[in-house]
Amino acid sequence: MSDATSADWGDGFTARRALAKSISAIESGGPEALAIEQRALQQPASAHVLGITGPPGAGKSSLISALLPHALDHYGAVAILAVDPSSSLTGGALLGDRVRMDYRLFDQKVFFRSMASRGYQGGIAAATRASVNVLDAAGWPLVIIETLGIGQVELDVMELADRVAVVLNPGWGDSFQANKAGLTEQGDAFVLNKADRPGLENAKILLEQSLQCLPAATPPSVFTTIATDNEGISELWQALAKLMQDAPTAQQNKRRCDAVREGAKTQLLQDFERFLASPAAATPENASSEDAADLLLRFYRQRD
Amino acid sequence: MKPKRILMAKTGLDGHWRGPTIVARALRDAGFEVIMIGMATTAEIVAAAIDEDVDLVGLNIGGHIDVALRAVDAVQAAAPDMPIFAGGTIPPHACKQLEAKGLEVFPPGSMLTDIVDSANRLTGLSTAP
Amino acid sequence: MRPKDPQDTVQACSDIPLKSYYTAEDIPDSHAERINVAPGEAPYHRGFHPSGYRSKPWRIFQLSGFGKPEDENERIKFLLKNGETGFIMEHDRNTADHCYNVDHPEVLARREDVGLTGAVMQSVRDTAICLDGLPMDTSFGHAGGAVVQHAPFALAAYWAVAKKRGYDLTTLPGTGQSDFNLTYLGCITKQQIPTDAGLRFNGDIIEFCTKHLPRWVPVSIAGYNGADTGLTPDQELGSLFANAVEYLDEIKLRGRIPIEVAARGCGGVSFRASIKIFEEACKMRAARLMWSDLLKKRYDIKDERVANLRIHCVTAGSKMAYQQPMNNLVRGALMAVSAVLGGVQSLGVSGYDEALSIPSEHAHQMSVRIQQILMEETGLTDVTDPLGGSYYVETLTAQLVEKSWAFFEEIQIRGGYLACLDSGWLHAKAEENQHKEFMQTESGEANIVGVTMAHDDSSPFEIDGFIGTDDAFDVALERLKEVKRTRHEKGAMTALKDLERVCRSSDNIMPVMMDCLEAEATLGEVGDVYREVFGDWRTPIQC
Repeated sequence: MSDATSADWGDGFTARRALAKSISAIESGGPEALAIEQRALQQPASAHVLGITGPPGAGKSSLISALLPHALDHYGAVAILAVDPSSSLTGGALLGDRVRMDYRLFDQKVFFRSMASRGYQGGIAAATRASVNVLDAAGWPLVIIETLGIGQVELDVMELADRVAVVLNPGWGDSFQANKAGLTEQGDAFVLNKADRPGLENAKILLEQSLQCLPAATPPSVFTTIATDNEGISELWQALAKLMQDAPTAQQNKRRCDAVREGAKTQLLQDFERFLASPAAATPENASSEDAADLLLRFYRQRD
Repeated sequence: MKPKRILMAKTGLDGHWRGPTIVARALRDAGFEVIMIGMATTAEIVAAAIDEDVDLVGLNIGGHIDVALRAVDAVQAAAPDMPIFAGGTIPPHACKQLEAKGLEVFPPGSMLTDIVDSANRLTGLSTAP
Repeated sequence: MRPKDPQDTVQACSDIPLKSYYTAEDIPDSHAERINVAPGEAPYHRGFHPSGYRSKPWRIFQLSGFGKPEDENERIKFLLKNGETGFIMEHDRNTADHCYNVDHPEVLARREDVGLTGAVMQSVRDTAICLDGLPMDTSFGHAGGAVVQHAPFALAAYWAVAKKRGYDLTTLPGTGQSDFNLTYLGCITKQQIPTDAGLRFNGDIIEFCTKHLPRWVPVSIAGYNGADTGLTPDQELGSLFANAVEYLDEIKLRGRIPIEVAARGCGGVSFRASIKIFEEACKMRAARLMWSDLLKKRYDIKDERVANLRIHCVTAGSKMAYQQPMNNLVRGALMAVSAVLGGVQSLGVSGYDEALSIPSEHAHQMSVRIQQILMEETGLTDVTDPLGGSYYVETLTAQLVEKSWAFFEEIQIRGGYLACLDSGWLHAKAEENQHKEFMQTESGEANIVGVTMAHDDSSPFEIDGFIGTDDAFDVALERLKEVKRTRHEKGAMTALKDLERVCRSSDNIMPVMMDCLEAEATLGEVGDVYREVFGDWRTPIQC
């Protein structure tokens, strides 16, 4: 295994490169990825994770850029994972979220990582969860995940984030009617960004109506922002900060349990692969499935 | 096969996007993950190269060569193992200066296939000369 | 490029299939009666003046400048001495385009770039140095300010210098530009005001000039910057008029000046003259026809004089090759021919070293010489609209008009020209074309001499990029400190406060901008007001 599994992820420039390389190793998958995440899990979870989702062009990156000064004030340091789609044909990707960020805020207290989805469905990348756990272990107090935003329901970020903000624009009801139910169930807060566009009032009414239909006792709040002009941002941040503060720790635990379960699954699968490749897997000609299962069990017991 | 990652940055405050966009598109179509950061200072280029853990840095150069050379030096100091290639309006004397620092350089008129070949070679995807 | 088989289709850049020859039958019915129109008659595709270049040759008008204001001054004088008949001031793009002073962190990080693309002019003192000894009253000056957010500052600086030198602004000739295509489509700045604020600026400039500088062309839409980014000739035309409509609708909405006057103000435009000679000549003919049509139909303007579209042309910089730069002299000449055949009023030829750097003195001189040869030796100026009546040219002109209006309509459907800049729709169109063009070269379908074929170069001339001066940054920083130290500080601060107040109101920005310049407020301070009041435009592209 490379030094990515054992490297120091703490403060400083060298550590920063080690952290970045660990995330690359996670993206590559395989046993090393597993080992890195398991190592991360040895630390207690403490980071807050905020998901920002919504259709393409809604202004997710701009909104994160506008929220960043507030988030830095509050948390001291912020890591951002921005997911963009990979081409299904070539596997390549254009990752352009950084261009929309205000670089002046980027210093050692901001870690920004562009992630290609690499074929993973659900709005994030396969490596996103493990990367969050690593960033958490490395001491980043807030991780913001910007999902793909392909306009479909992106439920995976709910599994991962403590809180999710859904970003929409005036006129969203027209183009995203089909997703209405899915989108409204995803968010802890809703943001109508680009609020200077026509149709704001309509969109707000439509959205609030849909949110009333949710089973929750108090429906999530709707905020209006113009991220590019910094309008409505401070109100939104205050609400998000409060939501994060009140977030059930269950979510943190779930993120870790998922990781542990995933680790176990991967371990089992690897063992199984090894079994299949070993002489122990040689089954007699007329063996039944039960016989084969017996062989497998014997293989496992011998291992202990 | 894990896709290789390339950072694309402009060293100057000159926003001509035609060239870098064409190149980025060709690299994406060749299977690379291309991280665009637009016009960036030396410090921003280094920070992005490190955080994004790229396999190759691409610099679009449009101004004085000293500005670009400073970015090259900084990337090479921070990540000596990270290769760099460059393109843009670069006169011959400046090409030589960049080449002396180990860069592959693509002035106007370069073929996209040559740029993609270079990216493959520099990221270890091919060994062809 | 020759098709493999003579029967194969050949496409014009505007995606119009070209036949191997044309006859009278090919000319569309819509255009048939226009054939018999003479130059000087509506709809003016044949030219606005019957005597054409016989009575008024085109203006030799080269973009020029670098280094310190005195370096730029020297280059402009050189060009005027060599036969240029107007002058274009180029401002340093790092500072001007962004409205930064040289001590802005983004500029400090790239200090060697300062002065590379134009002179640094941070206060009216710098502009005065740049204009020292130039015949502002008799020569047609382009004050720079090609960039929308920079234009009010650059224009006010030029006018303040003119005033100080005792010229009457009501007779001052010249032009502004304030062109969205340049920094919202072509080369996008790191930071600039949103498009709606830009439209407001341009409306203010048009109104201000109408009142105070009637001989000044307030804004000039540069189709060039769309075309050299990838828009095809029909798209260049369609988007240019879609842009003009934004200005005219704004002026009409304000209702403070007659639409005829505003239309005259918007009637100085620029196009790219590229290498496809006939299509480009047709583009200029189509442009005049479309302008005359637009004014009649959309604005009900009956005064025919308003339909006089004055076209400035710049040859396509992107067509100039890096390899074998001497070939670019030929390209420059041929592109200039296409512009002259199209009957343009003003022309700039890109330097042969365009793909390497800004023009050297010699490259600049050659750009003037090319034009002088065309003007004096070739007979191109003898007859007005020499291509008129050609089956091919008339057909292609008519087809271009039709295609361009279709593109214009596509833009209208998407909310208009500025909305298409905000959304990135125009950028996507340009990118699509660029990609196609690159792929044609890449596949060998299209050739570039000296680049994809004919590689042998035995030129004895070493052309290695023009560098300019190396003290532009230091001098600019010194002068910035100097102006801040020696100006009447309270006056400057009051003017800047006024500017902020006016920016937040709907009053015209130009009177207070004149005050700012006269009070020696600096470019970066003005930019800070903009950034505070208007915020930043969010670029729709990713690099």
